[in-house]
Amino acid sequence: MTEPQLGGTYDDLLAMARWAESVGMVSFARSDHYGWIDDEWRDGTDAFATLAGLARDTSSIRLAVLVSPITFRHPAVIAKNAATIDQMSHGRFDLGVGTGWMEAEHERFGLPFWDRPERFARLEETLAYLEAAFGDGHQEFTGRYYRLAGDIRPKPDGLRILIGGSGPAKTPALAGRHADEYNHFVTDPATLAPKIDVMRRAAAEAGRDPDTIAVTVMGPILAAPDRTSLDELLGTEAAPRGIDPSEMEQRLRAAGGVYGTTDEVGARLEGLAKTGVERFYLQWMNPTDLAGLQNRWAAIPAP
Amino acid sequence: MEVAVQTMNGYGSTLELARWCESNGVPALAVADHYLSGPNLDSPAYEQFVVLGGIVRETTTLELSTLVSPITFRHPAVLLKAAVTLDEMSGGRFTLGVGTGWMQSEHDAFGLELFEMGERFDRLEEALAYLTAAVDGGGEGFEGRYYTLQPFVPHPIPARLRLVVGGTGRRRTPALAGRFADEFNVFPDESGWVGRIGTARQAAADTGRDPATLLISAAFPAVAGEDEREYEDTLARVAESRGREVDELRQSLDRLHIPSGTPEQMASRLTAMADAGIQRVYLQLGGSAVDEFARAVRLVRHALG
Repeated sequence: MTEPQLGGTYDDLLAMARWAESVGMVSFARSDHYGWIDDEWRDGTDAFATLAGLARDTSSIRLAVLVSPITFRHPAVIAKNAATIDQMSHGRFDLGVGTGWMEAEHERFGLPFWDRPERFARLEETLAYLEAAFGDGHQEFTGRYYRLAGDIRPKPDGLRILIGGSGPAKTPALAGRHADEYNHFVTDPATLAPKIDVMRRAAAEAGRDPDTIAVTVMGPILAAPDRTSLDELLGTEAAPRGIDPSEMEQRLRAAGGVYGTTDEVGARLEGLAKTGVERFYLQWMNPTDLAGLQNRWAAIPAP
Repeated sequence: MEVAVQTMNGYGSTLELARWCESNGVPALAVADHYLSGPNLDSPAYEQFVVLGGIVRETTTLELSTLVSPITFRHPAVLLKAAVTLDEMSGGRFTLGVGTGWMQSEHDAFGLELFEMGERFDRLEEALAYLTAAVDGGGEGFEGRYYTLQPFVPHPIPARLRLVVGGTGRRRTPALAGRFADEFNVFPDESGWVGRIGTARQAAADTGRDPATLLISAAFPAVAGEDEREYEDTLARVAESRGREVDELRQSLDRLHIPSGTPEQMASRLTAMADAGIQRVYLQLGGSAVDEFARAVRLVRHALG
């Protein structure tokens, strides 16, 4: 999972996606941001247009937007983007949606940034809208913010809906009711387990089989043979976030991130798997540095 | 006069047509941007920025554009990002088209707001000012009633992104095209071609731009035949695909000064268009079968001599 708002061209993204496909990764994901929290405004590109190119320039890897803020586009536009990439990729697209959180990018571009309850209400309506748009037979949706009045075409073939976020109650409940995949920022099993329970209960209450909803995490993985190499990795990870390595380590520790020696990392990944995590999106914050990503990947112990 | 084509379809058909254009000297492929592809909801319609995200990767020289994207669908920030991304992915072959939007049925079906006409034009003007401020590298930003861009230089800075403005408006559309756009797409209209082209060029001059750099284009349905009989067949087919009566369609082609008929019959109207300053025509077809486009392009080229 990479973050192209930190720089890079389509060709950089493509090189990364093709490499990921060649080493057998299951998915290539990108963020959807128009800027970043520091004051350096780099190369925010359109997530859907680049994923459309990747749909044609790759052949087997799944492609995902992780995640697209519902503050940027009307659900009609999200639905058409997703269904079209689904067609172009022969069903390899995963649509991630979220409330949006980076207020600065909204201010810069004059995009609406509603208060938190309204963003959640709109996210839930967007999900219901997408279900009506993609479902079989004539379905309509009328909400407070959005409405869909017809049985539109095309219907996607292999599209999956992903809901990402780390809140304790609303996000997992929404995922349980509406998503095919629930994605959380990487954390320790003890923090994650109760949220998975919330997600599964919400699924069951909505009449869905909780086992059909994949639990995945996203975040950095810092595996190193010794302390010196680990410090270097912390530096690489800290720079794009505008913090120093020691703060990066504190944040990772506080968040339950995956870092340490090879054995420690192996144990952490094992722990997450036992908690029900099916997939780890390795977050890579340096979109122009494929060699760095390859080194990072090589140090991660095989499951 | 250049002969280009306009379509609106899913990926496979658009790609086939794009490849045919590249190997047959057609310089540009424009896509219409609608969320309904016909009077019935069950005709599929696609996100054309996404379709073009693939087409730019599978073509090398063809110019591509949206003709035009309604500003009622997407915030200018989203149009900007999609456009600069396609510009980069295509090596500077993309032209972003914007217009007010008009199709009530697609707005009703999807719950999109079709603002009243005056507001739509105000928003179009603001969207054009926003886009211009965003891509010119000056970083001055834009503050409007509907849209605001803070003062900064958004990246990536496009290599050669162009803007096309088109629509049925007789006054504000050409004025906005002259002031902001690189291309003015003149809609067929009873008033003929000359007046609105003059308005656009005057607006360009008034803004301190060179009117000669404004590409003037027009798009119209390709209703053509090798001979009278083939023309009548085509007319009947186009009428059926648009849900119209044959005679009513024939009269409307005449009323709107649209070249139609045999190459000999088309020649005088094409000459009138060229004399009015139109440098490129986009031929539209109901379907997107490559052989139909090939026939239409051949007949119009023949008419042009």
